[in-house]
Amino acid sequence: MDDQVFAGLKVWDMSWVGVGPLTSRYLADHGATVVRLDSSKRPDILRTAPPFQGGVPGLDNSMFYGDYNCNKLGLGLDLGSERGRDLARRLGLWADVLVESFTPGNLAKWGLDYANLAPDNPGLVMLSTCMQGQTGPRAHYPGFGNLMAAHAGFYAVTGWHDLTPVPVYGAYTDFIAQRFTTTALIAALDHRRRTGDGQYIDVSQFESAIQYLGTELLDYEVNGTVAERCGNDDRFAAPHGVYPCAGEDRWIAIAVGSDGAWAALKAAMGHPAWSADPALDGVRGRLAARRQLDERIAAWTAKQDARTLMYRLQPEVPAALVQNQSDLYQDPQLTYRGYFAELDHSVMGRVPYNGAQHLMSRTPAQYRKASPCIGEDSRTVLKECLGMDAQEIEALVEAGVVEAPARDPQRAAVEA
Amino acid sequence: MTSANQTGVPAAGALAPYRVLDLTCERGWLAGRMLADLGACVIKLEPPGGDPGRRRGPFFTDQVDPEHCLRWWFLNRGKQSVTCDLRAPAGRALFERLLTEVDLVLESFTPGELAGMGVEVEQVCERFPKLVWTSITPFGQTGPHAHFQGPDLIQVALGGSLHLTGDPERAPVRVAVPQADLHGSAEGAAASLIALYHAGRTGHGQRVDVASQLCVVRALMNATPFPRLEGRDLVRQGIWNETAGFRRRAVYACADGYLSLMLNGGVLGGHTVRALLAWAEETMEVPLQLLEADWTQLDFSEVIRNPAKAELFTNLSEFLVEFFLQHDKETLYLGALERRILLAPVNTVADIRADEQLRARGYFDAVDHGELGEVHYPGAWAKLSNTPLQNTPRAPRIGEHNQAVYGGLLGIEVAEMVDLADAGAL
Repeated sequence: MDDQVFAGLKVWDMSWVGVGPLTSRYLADHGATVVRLDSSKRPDILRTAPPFQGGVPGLDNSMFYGDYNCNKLGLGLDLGSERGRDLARRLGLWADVLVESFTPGNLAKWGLDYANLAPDNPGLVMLSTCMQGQTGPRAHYPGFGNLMAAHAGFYAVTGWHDLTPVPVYGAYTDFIAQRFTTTALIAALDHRRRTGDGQYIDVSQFESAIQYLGTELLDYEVNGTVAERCGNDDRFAAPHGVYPCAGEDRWIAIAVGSDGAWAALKAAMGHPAWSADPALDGVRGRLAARRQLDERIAAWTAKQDARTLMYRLQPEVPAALVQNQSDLYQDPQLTYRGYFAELDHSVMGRVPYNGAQHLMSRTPAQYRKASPCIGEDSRTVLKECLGMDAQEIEALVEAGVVEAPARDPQRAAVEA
Repeated sequence: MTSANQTGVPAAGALAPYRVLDLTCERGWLAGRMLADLGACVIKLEPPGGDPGRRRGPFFTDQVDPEHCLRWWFLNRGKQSVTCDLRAPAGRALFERLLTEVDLVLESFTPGELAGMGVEVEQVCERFPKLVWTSITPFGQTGPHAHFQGPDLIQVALGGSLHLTGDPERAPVRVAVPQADLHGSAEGAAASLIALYHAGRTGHGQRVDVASQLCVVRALMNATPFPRLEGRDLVRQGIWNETAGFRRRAVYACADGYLSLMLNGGVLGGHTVRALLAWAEETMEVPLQLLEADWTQLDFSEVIRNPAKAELFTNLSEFLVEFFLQHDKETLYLGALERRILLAPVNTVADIRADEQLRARGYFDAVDHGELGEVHYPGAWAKLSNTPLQNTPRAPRIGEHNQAVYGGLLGIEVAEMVDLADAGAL
């Protein structure tokens, strides 16, 4: 086994909420030293949002925050103070990579923007991520991926034709943007590895998200077609839907994308008389009859166990249990791949972190450290990254510039 | 987006030194496209007659033609195309020669399919130790579900997003535009670059195995830990949102369409509520209860502890229904921008194409399609100051680069090309 890919890479993560921290997590999972900014005066808002261990709100008890920040060092820093901003700048000169997601313009006010840092750190790769980009009339648009998912066209194509469009769960576009920011950032790091040159990267969540609607944007451009919500229908496949099963809110998804899959489904249903219609053996006939097919299939699935039925139908018929979150922990494929990483958090205890969605044969992602409480690693960071001595560090803690856990008096005496 | 340095020569992309062999079917196309955007030379290998994915609509002006497939156009822009029949021995020999020239292979075959064609990936990786081999599939290369069929609906069902989306009185519903493979492909691009970075430093290639089902799981935001931490499963709530333990409405009709709103109190959303109520007061009578509430104090923890406070959000949602119906989408969006309200229009692709911000940032690229004219594509998804994304040409025709790649890159003589074609390898 090789050393981790980014071992020795220094990352100063001044971002918050979703895209920035998710991007720096790729680097952290592959061995980089990632210092994550936080502050109890201006905590990452994810710390105020659920799930909380035991359902009890608390800044250090939120797994929403935790899940995005394992493998990172937590630095508690008051950016409202001159001395805090000075430390932030020193970390900007220490870092190979800086990630930030402030409202465009904020960092420049503090002298922490790329133009200010690059002359003293020319190899710096800096990533800014925000809703609509650093330039243009909407650069200052505030928001979250929930709203951006509406703005970027995803709500309009989700839901039933006769009802209001519905949200896609969560801050959906964050989970598109994070893969584009990560790809751009590592490409820039590779360029730096070869040339020594750093650079500045501006990613608009809007611009990266609509890459997932690119075909539909072209279809509008050349054919005037506006993609719309249509339940679970597919333009080219039928039957294609979600059908009720035995139990409360249990469902099976079935997507017949070929004549072969249709033949297999008919056989699995025991060749009911209605399915013998030869028109149904071709996709045009099935598309024309899709509503009747949905009714027939729903009647057939209604009393069956969804999981058992999935195993009966796959792989000949594309079918799947509609999994809730509890099901994910029982999914044998996720278990096989070791998807959830269990780590011991100092407040939440043993909790499951989402793992990498890729396996690598030589340099797998590794999970070394649970997410930090606010300021958990402040002393380590100031000592190891900025080379400060204990006296300097304690003075900063005393002055409230840096947040750090109360010290163990015995250890303090030894260090003194 | 072409950006030029001072000499007027367009700057090269970050991945300019890399060559990629792209064997993917439709579900993996985006990965190579992203790398081509970043300047890599991406050679798309198609079976003779063209990639089967070219035969799925929508098509340019609805003409069913493998050269008019819009998904092909969008997801293969900037690539070169060679034809090669991996099932034929002569084709596999050609493939072997291509492998000597590339840094990365991208593929998305159903596990086992390549072996069935006589391509043993383990052996390839042993013979080419610096090569990165990335596989993008619904469930991964091995494991109990690796052989499952995984079109989009199946992946979002097993990935957990279907369960969380849709109106509670009906079946769960998916995003009608397939998403799961795109997540897997974008993940494939990112993970390939991690491995290429390593290969560049150490000379060690490796295999990368992406499962797009897991990319769907990752997109569940904060939902997965709920059963473990709070002992409950989140359920779909239609146009409402009660994830945080209280109920507020997320989508509203307005005069000419729909909009979405993020109703929170506290630092996160207190200002939005106060600004909305002030706006509504210009034309409506606002209930006293809503005006008197101290929204800035009502952060999640406060609301979760206090059911009476939670009810305020339901009442607020109901009040706003009438306010939004008085205005159109444009007025509401511009008014919200001015007032710094967390509100977004529910845009369609038509709205996005006309968007002022995208225009100001030069997002859409004009791509020359010869006699078909110029077509505007969604363009640069990131702005890199030194190594800008490349304004690449249109997607290739079937085998358009056979001569350039087989002749130019591999140095194959014309006579041998004729033999290969006769043997059915091209």
